[in-house]
This record gives sequence, C-alpha cells and structure tokens, in this order.
Amino acid sequence: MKQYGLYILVCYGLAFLLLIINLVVSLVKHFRILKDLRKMQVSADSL
Amino acid sequence: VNSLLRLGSPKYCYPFLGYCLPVCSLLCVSLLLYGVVGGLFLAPPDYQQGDAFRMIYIHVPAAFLSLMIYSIIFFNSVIYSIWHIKLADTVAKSSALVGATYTVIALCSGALWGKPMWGTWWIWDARLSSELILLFLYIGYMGLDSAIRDRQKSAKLCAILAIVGMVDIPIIHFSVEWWATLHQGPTLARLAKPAIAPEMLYPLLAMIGGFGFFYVALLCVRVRTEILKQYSANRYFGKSV
Repeated sequence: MKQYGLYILVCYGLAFLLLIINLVVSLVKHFRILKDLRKMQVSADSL
Repeated sequence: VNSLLRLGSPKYCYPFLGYCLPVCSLLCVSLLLYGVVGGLFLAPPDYQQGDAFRMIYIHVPAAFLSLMIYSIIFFNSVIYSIWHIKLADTVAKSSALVGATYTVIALCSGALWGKPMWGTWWIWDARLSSELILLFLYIGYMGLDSAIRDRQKSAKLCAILAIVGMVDIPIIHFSVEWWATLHQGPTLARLAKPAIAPEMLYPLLAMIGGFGFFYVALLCVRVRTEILKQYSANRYFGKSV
C-alpha cells in the first residue's frame, strides 16, 4: 500500500470531498427554501 | 399503474421522496462503509498492479454512475418532450450536478490511476476524450438551464441538448472495442464471467450500490427543493411544509 499510498489517498479523499460538498450544497439550498417558506407562512398568518 | 402515474404529481411525489430519503441514506452509508473497508483492507492486492488497483473502487462506480445518470436525464427529457410532465424536467435538471460530479471523479481518479500504471496523467485516448465530452455536455446542460429565465423554454432547450448529447453514451461505452485504446476493456461487462475474485468483486458492487443510493438520496433532496420552489404558492403544500 505504501508505494501507491498517496495516489490512493488523493483518489478517495477527492471523491468523498466532492460528494460531501455536493450533499452540503443541496441540503443548505433545501433548508434555506424551507426557512423562507415558513417565514412567508408566518407573515401570511399574521395578516 | 395509477399509483405510479400519481407520483408524477408533486402532491404525491413530495411526501414519497420524503419516505425514500432515509432508506436510501441508510443503504448508501452501509454500502459505502463496506465498500471502502473491503476495497482498501479486505481485498487482496492485484498480481500485476499491486495496491494501485484499489482505485478501481472509486473510478469504476463513478464512471458507471456518470453514464447511468446521463441516461436518466435523457429518458426524463424524452418524457418531458412527449408528455410535458414538469416533474420529468425537474428530475433531469436535479440530476445534472450529481452526474457532473461523478464525471469529474471518474476523470480525476482515472488520471491518478493512469500516472503510476501508464506513466501519464492524461492521453487523448478515445475513452478518456469521450468521457471529457460527457463532462462538457453536463456543464453545457447546467449552463443552458441557468442562462434561460423562462422555465418552459429552458426545459425544452435542455431536453433537446440532453437528447442530442445521448449519442456520446454508446461512444463512451464501446470506445474501447471500436478503437485501439490505452484504456482497458469493459470491466463491468466482464463481471458476467468470474474474471475477478469474489473478495475484489463484492466491495466493487457495494461501491456501485453506495454511489447509486447516494445519487438517489441527493435526487430526493434536490427534487423536493425544486418542488418547494416551483409550487410554494400551491394549496397542496399547506400541510407538507
């Protein structure tokens, strides 16, 4: 494993980093919209 | 059939995706855990490539998913073009970023694998070049979507691009058979014959499954986000939100 350790580490690290970034971006976008909608609902109810 | 058709409506689709999400997430995490542990520690080293072959557990699943997701975008684009089902367009557009990510992973892991095995990071080989074209197709698709404000027009043009771009998928798949390439022959097609030891095969299948469920889980989140965006004013969502 030592001979190709760096290649393997970069390969797995990069793959999972990209997937995690994708997941975080999608979740942040989702919860931001949910938050906005809840705010809209509260303001509509208060009217 | 009726229940399936109902899923085309955001009213039924939104809660259904909510049920699918935890199941897919759990399957994804378990399969990826087994795949990574099995691929890195349990599988024996390859007799020719040694430990460098362990990059197969990232490269092959990512490449497989990049083709699979583009095919899903193509089918959804065909459905949208024929029946104008908005959800099909939403699924296609929500898939593009994940597909592009898998294509980048396939290209980068291929380069990292190529350097110690072929002695070069990149070569203008038929398989590598056609996979790079796939990345450009994904980027073009996302760019076209974000460049056009009118949703109907954007859906129509993106569907045309996805349908035309589908020609690249069989080229990628058969490139290693049609032309003399540095890239090895099809890996997954060979799985039909026991050409690979079970200790190497099972983690590979687990990684493909894990990457697949990751895509489905992310698709659930992204489609739900798009539905919320598009139909927030719709009366159906009074309870769901």
